[in-house]
Amino acid sequence: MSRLFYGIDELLTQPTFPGMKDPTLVYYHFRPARPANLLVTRDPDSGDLNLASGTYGPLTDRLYTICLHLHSSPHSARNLSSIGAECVVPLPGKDLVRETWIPALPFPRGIFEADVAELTLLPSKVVSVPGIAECPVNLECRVEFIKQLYGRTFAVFLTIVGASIDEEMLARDRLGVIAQYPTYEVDDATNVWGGSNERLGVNAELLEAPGFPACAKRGFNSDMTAWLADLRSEGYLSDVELATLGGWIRELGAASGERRGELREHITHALRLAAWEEWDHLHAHLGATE
Amino acid sequence: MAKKRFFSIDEIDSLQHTDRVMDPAAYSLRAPMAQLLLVTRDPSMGSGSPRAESRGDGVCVRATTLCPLTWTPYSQSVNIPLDDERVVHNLSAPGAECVLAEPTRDQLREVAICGQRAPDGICEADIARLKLCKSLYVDVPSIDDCPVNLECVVDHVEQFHTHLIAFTRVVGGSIDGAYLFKEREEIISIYPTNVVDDVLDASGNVRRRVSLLRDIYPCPQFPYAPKSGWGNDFNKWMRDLRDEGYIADADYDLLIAWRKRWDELFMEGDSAERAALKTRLTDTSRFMVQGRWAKLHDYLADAPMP
Repeated sequence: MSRLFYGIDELLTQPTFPGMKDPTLVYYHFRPARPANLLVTRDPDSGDLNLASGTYGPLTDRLYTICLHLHSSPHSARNLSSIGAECVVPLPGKDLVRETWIPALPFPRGIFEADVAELTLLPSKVVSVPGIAECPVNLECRVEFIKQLYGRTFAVFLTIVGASIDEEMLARDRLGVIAQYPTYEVDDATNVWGGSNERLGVNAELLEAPGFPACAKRGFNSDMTAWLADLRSEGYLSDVELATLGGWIRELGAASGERRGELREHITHALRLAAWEEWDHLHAHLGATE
Repeated sequence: MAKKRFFSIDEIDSLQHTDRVMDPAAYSLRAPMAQLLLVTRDPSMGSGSPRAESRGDGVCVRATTLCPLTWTPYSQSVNIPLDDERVVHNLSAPGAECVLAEPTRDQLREVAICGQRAPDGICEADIARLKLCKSLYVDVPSIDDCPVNLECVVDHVEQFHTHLIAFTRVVGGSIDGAYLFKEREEIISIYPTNVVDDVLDASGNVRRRVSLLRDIYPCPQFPYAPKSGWGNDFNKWMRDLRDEGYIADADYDLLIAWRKRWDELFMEGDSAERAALKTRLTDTSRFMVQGRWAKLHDYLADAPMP
């Protein structure tokens, strides 16, 4: 079937087709599921604790930082409106679906949603607000950067300054961990009143991507020249073949016109054959065009 | 309560500063995140440029993860390592364009190939045998082999530690028609794949692992939440409960009066009345989310009007 294009205005109206049971079906094809988080903050005016739920994303690994996106109306956006403000980001497991939803309900400012959900507070080691004991992971955070977006939402960059994890999770294999937490916001199905019924998902399958020789030994974010050196060191390329390919790459930088196109074809074809492990064709290509 | 292991910031740092892959505990402190292919184009080699000699010249494809930002407008950030000079150059100015394509579970090799940086002038999509196609709303091409492509414009960039954070707004998108009518349960078993971790294989080479969702759990609905689900207020939820007979008129009046009085007392942190009212509102809220309507009615019958 052919590809269907939507402008953003049309997409946001949640286009549908006859026979679709849920009018949000197409729209959520365009919104990948995002990890769900809880968020414990303290109201700077009253001192009341607040528990919110939302989704988040990663920023950097080495310093461990994450980004929250907070709408201006929930209380947590007010509570994290200054640099250095402290919070805890608990990651809920699949046994906490109901408890993850309760903080999204419209309780008055100052009513602590964790008390409503009967969740247990976990004293933090570094920051002044507690975590949630029932969550397998609690990230203790400080606000490092805030950016207001389109008037109504704040991107809040957090630095992780401490973290706790259920010891049991450290003993599990990876699939055992990701099948337990976190949950993901998958979509909002339409309920019988025309409102939304949030649905959460959890990881259930672990797949391994191809590694060397399809890509560099060091994996993602490597330079392809490092991959070529790996291929040479493991005998997939000869010295002469590596020199030929390296020569083309060096020449490409300064080439133009027809020669540039020719070099691009040679290099792309060689790298393609290597990446798909078609070694006989690769040797023939490099030999023929040496 | 489960036994907890605490990591200080220095310990977290040491888990992450290993040679090729992070310590397994570091991955356990993270959520697997949707993996996408980021397509950018050198702005000096855009469509119509004399150097755009063929479809891939000036086009660069990377494997990346995204961070959700807003739904209206629909925006997210993508994080580019600062040493990835090609992509940093392509996205460093507001107004730059890009495409975020969602690969499927059957395209892990293609993603691994695009996880490497090709020499300048070579397009990773061509190496990965991914077919580029014209986008409708931006000049950067989409990936025809991916079920979904989001066409985006950069509204803001921020340098943050080791990365350039590009805030991108979706201006259009395309979907392979074959996926259009698939139910969510099937879609999430096909895409997106979530980046889980990097591990070493038997030869000491790095292998990336990804995950897919399968089971879906619906959150509670009315009467345990407003009929509208998200985005409503307490009073409207109480009206829904009264109109459907879960609470009596007198119960409703009392709850609304408590709510009004609570707002009046909110800044009076030392007030005994505030503390008592907080307990009442918490208790009644708990009964509502647990569906204990008889208990709620009894509780309200004994409670004072403020």
